[in-house]
Amino acid sequence: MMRILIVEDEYKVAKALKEGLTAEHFIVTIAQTGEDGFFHANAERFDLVILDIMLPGRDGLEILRTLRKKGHQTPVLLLTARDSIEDRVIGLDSGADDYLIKPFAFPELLARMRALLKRGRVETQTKLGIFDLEMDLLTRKVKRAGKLLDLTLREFELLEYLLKNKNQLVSREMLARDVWKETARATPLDNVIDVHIARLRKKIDPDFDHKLIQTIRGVGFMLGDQEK
Amino acid sequence: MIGPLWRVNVRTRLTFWYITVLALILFVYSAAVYVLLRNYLFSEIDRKLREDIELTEEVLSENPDNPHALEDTKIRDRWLLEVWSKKKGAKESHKEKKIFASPSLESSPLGIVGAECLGKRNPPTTKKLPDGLHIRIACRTSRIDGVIYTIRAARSADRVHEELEQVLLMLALGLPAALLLSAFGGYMLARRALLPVSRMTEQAQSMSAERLGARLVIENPNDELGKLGTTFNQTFERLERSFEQMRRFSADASHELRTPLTAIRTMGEVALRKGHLPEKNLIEHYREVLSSVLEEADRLRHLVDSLLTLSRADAGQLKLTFKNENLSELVKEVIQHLEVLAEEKGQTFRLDLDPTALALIDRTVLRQAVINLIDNAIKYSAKGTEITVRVVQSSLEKRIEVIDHGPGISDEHKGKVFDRFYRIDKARTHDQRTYQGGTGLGLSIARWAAEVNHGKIELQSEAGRGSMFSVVLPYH
Repeated sequence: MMRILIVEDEYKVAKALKEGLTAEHFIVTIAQTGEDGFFHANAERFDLVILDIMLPGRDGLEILRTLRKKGHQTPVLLLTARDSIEDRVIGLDSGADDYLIKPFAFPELLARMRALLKRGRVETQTKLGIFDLEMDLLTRKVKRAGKLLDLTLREFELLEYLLKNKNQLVSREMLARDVWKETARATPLDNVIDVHIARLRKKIDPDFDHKLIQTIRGVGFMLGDQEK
Repeated sequence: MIGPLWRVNVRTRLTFWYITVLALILFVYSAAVYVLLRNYLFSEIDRKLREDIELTEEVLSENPDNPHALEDTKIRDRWLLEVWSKKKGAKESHKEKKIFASPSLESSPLGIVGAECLGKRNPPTTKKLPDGLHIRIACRTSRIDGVIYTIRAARSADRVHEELEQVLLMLALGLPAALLLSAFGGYMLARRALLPVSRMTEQAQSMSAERLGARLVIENPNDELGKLGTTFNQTFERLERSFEQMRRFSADASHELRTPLTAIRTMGEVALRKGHLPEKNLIEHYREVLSSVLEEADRLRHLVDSLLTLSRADAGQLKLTFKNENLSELVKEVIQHLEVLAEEKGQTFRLDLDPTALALIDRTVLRQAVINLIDNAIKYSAKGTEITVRVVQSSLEKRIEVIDHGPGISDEHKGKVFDRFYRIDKARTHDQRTYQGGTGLGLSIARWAAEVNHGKIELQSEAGRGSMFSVVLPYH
C-alpha cells in the first residue's frame, strides 16, 4: 500500500483528494500548513508528496527545497494555481518531479501519480489489451475478438493511450496534452477529441454487446472491462 | 541632477534666459558705442593738436631766432605749448634748451620730455594734471633750418572726459533699468503665452476615470498649444474608449462567469430537495446532476483559461519567441487537427497554400489565431459547404485567408465581432451541449495573436454569402 502526503491548505480540496485517493487504495495523510507538511515529510516515510505551492506560513517551494537539501528523495508532485511557465521552471528547479495546474481533473492527478510511482521501471510491454481487444505495438495491429480493425494513426495513438490507462478515467485535457501534444490550454480541442472518440467507438464497439469505451459526462472517458 | 534653475516654472526660466541674452547684447552694444564715441572725441582733439604743432612749426621757421613770436599767435591762450631746441651739430649729450613755454606751463606741470616724444610718430597721450585738469598731449620732433625742435602741445580734454562720463553714467543707469523693464515685460508675455497651459492643467486635473467625457477647450487649434491640446483630447478619447471597453468587458465577464455558477448552484439546490425519491432513482438523479455540475465546472475552466490568456496578453507578460516559420506547414497542421470536425459536418477544405511563404512569428501564438479562425469557419458554416484556406504572399505582406460560405456578418456587427464576449446571436451561445458553443473570446484571441505577431486581422463579409477572415503579416 502506497503512502501519500497531501499538503494543501484548502480544506475542501484536501478532503476530496483524500477520499478519492483512499478509494484508489492509497493511505493518505493531510497537512494543512507548510510547517505541518514539512514536519510530516521529514519525520515519516511517504511514497509520494502532493504539495500545494501557495500555503500559509512557509510556501510549497521553500518546503521542497529544504526537503531536498536534507536529502529526501521522495517524489513530489506540485500543485499550482499560477499557470505560468516561470513558476513551472522554478518548481522543477527546486526539485519537484512533476506539476499540475489548478483546477485539474482528478483522473489526471491519478495518472501523474501512477507515472511518478512507476518511475524507474522500464516499460517493455509490446502488447496491450483489454477483454477481447488486443493491440500490438510492434506490428501496429489492433484486433477485437480476433477481427482486425482498421485504425487511423490518430485513432491508434488514442487507443494506445486509453489502453495504457485502462480502467482509469482519462480527461480531455490529458488527451489533448498527451495524444495531441497541445500545450496552449485555451485551444479548443475538446470537440476534436469527442469526434475521434466517437469514431474510435464506432470501430471497436459497434457489433459487440460489451462496450469498451465509456463516456463519463463532465469528466472524460474510460476504457474498461466492466460495463457500467 | 536638475539644477536649481530647472526646478522653477517655465515662465521664470524663459524670462531668465531672455534677460541673460538681452543683457549680453546690450552690454556689448554699449561698450562698442562707448569706445567708438571715445575714439571719435579724442581724434577730434588730436587733429587740433596736430594743427597747433604745424602752426608752431610755421612760426618757428618764419622767426628762427625769436621764439617769443609764438606768444603773439592767436592760439596763445587756448593751448599749451612747450618748445625745446637743439643746434645742429651739437653733441648728442648736449641738453636741449627750452626756448618757449606757455605761461601756464612755467612750472613745468607736464614734466620732463618723456617717452611720448622720442619716436618719429608719437600717438598723443592723456594726462591728469595736479589741479585736476585732464589734458591731451601731442609731441613732435621737427628739423627746421638745421635746428631740431621738440614741440609739445597740449589741450584740455576735460570736455571730452565729461561727455564720456555722462555717457557712462547714462549707460550704467539706463541698462539695468531697461533690463528690469524687459524682464517684467518678458515675464508677463511668457505668462500670457503659457496661460492656456495652466488652464489645460486645471481642466486635465479635474478629469478622472469617471469623468473622461470632458475635453480641453482649444482656443486656436493651429498653434503649438492648440496642437498639444488636440493631442491630449485624442488621448482622452482613446482612454475613454478603453475604459468603456474595460467596463463592458468586466460586465460581460462577470455575466459569463455567473451563468455556469448559477447553473451549478441551482442544480445542487434542486437535487438536495429530491430526498423523497426512492433510493435507486435518487442515485441516478444525483449522478445526472453531478455530471452537469462537472460540465459547468469545465466550462468555467475554459473561460478562465481564455481570460487568463487575454489578460496575460494585455499585461504583455507573455514571452514570445520569433522564428521564421512556414505558414503553409502551420496551416496544414492546424487543418489536420480540425478536419475531423469538418468531416462530421460533411464540409470539405479547399487548400491553396503557397509552400514558400515564410514569416517571422511566434508559432504557438499565431497557431492559436489560425485554429480559432478555422474552428469558427467550421462551426458557423452549414453542413456540406466548402471552406477555403489560402496562404498567399506578395511583396508587401503574407496572408492566411479563411473563407467560408456561412451566414456572413452584416455591417452592424463587423466592427464588433473582435470585441471580447461579443456575439452576433446572443441566443446561440448556451444552447449547445458543450462549452464549445464558444467562450465569445475566440476572435479576440485571434486578433491579439495576429497583432502580437506585428500583423492584423481583416474581415470581409456579406450577410448571407459568407466571410473571409485574413491574418495579414508584414513582409520582413
